[in-house]
Amino acid sequence: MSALLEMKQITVRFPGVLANDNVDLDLEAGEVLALVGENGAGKSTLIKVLAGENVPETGTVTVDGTVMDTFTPSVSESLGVAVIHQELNSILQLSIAENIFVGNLPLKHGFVDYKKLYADSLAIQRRVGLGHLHPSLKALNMTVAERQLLELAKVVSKEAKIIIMDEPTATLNTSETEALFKIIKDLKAEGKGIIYISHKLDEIFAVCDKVMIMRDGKKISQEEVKSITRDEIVTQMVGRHIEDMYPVHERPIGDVVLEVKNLRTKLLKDVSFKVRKGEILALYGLIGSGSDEALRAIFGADKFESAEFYMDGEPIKINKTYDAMAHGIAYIPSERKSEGLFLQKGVDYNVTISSLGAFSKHGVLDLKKETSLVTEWIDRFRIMTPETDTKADSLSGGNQQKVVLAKWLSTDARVLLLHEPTRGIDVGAKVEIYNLMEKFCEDGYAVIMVSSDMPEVLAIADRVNTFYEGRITGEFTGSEINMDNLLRYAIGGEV
Amino acid sequence: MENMQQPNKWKAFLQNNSSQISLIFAMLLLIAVGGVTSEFFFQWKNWKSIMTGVSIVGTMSAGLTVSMLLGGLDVSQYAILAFSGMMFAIMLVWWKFNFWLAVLLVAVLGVILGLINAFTVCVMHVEPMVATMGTQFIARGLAFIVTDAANQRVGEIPEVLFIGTGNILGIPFCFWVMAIVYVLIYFMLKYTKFGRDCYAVGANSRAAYLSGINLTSVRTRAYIFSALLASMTTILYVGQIGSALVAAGNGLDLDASTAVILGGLSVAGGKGNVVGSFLGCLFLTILNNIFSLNGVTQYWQTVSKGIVLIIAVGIDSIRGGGGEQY
Repeated sequence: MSALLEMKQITVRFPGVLANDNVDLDLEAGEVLALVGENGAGKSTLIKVLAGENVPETGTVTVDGTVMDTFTPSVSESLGVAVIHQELNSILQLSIAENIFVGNLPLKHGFVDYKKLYADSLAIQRRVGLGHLHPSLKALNMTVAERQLLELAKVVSKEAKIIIMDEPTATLNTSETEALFKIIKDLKAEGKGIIYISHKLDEIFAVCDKVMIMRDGKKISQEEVKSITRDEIVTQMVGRHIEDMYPVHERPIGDVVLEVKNLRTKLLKDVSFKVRKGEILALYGLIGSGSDEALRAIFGADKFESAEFYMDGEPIKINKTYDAMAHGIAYIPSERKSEGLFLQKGVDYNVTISSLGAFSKHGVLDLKKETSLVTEWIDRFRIMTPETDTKADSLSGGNQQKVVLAKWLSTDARVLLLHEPTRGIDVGAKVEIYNLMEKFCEDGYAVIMVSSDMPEVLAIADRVNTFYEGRITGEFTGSEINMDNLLRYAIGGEV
Repeated sequence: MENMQQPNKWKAFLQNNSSQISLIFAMLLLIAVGGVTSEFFFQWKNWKSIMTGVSIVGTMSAGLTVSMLLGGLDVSQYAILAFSGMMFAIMLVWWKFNFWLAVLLVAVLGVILGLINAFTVCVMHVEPMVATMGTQFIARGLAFIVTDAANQRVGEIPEVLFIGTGNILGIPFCFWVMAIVYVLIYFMLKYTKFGRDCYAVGANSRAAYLSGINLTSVRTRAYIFSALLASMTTILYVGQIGSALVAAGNGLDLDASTAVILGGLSVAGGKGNVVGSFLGCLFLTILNNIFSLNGVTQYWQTVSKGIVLIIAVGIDSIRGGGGEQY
């Protein structure tokens, strides 16, 4: 019996880069294959070959016995390959049902048969855990996590044989991730082949059968998940040994810098918390718990009903982002590309947009000084960019995140609000970001972080407030910060 | 996969300014056509008339560039020009105001109309094109009402005569005014926080807000700039014609936008510069000039303007310079 998918000796060359170098990939029906590697290792290039978006220089692709002779997305789709991209592609103005069946709506006498559409849609929604939503709900009214599942629903509806998932849990929380794993196991039982791309190694051990490791465009190894350790994967990915992914934190913690009292929004019910100088406070909760809303409210990014803010004990007023900024608060958003960066502008423009005053005299910008300041940040944060004015769009995720950090560190901020600080970033860059966060604390910044990446919270937070349904359910420090506590209190506390 | 080969500065310059550079080539071609089809074309007198002509649409477009960088069209400028022109003439002729006082009050009028645009866009969250359309109707109507639809001759006021017909170093005074405005706006967009903020708001207003930029303040200032320059341009216009016309610029409401878009500014915002806007204005003025010299009617000039706009923007878009394709 032949494999469901065989990719043999795939080589892809871009101007100046050998993106895939003689790569083989095999996938059996009913198997979940993890594809791991740092950003730029060639995973996306390989996947795009399979999806018909890249044409390989050499190599063959065989899907279920059929050789892929032309590389276009429609050929790939007709062979039963479906990709769930990291970016959510649902059309916000359309309903769930329309999103799932777009281009393939059931008709009756030439008109859309909504009764059948909704029935079919609901059947598919149930398979991916969206059964609680009415098919007529517009995608814009769904949460990010739900939209992630909608992407999966689209793929399921096409009855694809091979499903590629690119960072499917990037926007999901622990319980939602669990739900997704269950769906993956169902799909596996139906005999689908799944290629699972993720930076989160825990997930690989939870849900994958095999792991294929790539580095610098080459396949490094392929192993049974049972017979490889986490450390071995990381070592093979980065080509060097990382002793400890997370820095150890032993540092003095100072006085309270920022205090939030009785923060009230539609969701949050009189939430209060505070952060000290040199401390990393994590707000942890499942999606919909309000932890992210609390973070955004402090910065004036979202509207809130009422709140009191104190900076060094003095009451301050925050309504808009520029109020927060004037009081020394910085916000690094989770949606790096759409909220943190001006993608079509250069690194220099992005780094200095919030601190133009630092190099202007009588309102006139000193562009020479700007370039030298930007160069300093590029050196200090080791931002890999060919030029100071290279478009932010062309940088890797980790480097983009460093640009956003540099933007805020060059202001007078003293409190850093980090929202999913390492989402979609490869392991090597993650470690760099953690080290930078440690450094910020040593330099006297106060950090408040919201992250759905549990190991990250466990490893770098000094203190954790758990959120559940708009309330703070618990506070943990030191050894109390463990998975058991956080999860228990994030799903409602003592039960 | 960091590719650290030394990048080419010139190549980047060409890529960043592709619309402007192709426009220059198109203009050279146009000038050649002008020279071939009319012997009068290369005479200094003709170029002076081109300079006089471009100074009206040019000065307005400089302001328009600022408001359109934020994204969306601003279609109120010509109506503001007409209304401010009537008020300018009324102040000078009926009320016998001092010339400079009249100029100042016209500027104030421009600021007020700009504030209306800003209020509608920022506070009422109306799409810029619809918001400025409202102002366009209001100003257009008021231009007729204030004199009961009668054009107003301005007469022999020396300052007005000089503005319209005077020369400095052999170059029309209007053209100097426009040139100074362009230098100022160029400087402002490149070397001030406000200029940077305009690009940020236009490129991604959400990211701009989350970068601590006050969107309302940036937008308000940009709309004031646009309307202020429209109302100030009226002084050049009245000077050139010697009268304030109730129907000034009627039907030309999109002329300045056309020029600005031709110059590479994206209607989506965040992309383009004031040099391109000037080139766009110059291109359209030369095109009209050539048609006039060859006796082509106004109507065909309008048709050709449409064709040029579609071709220019179309080519830019296909080449990928015009932003997202999907």
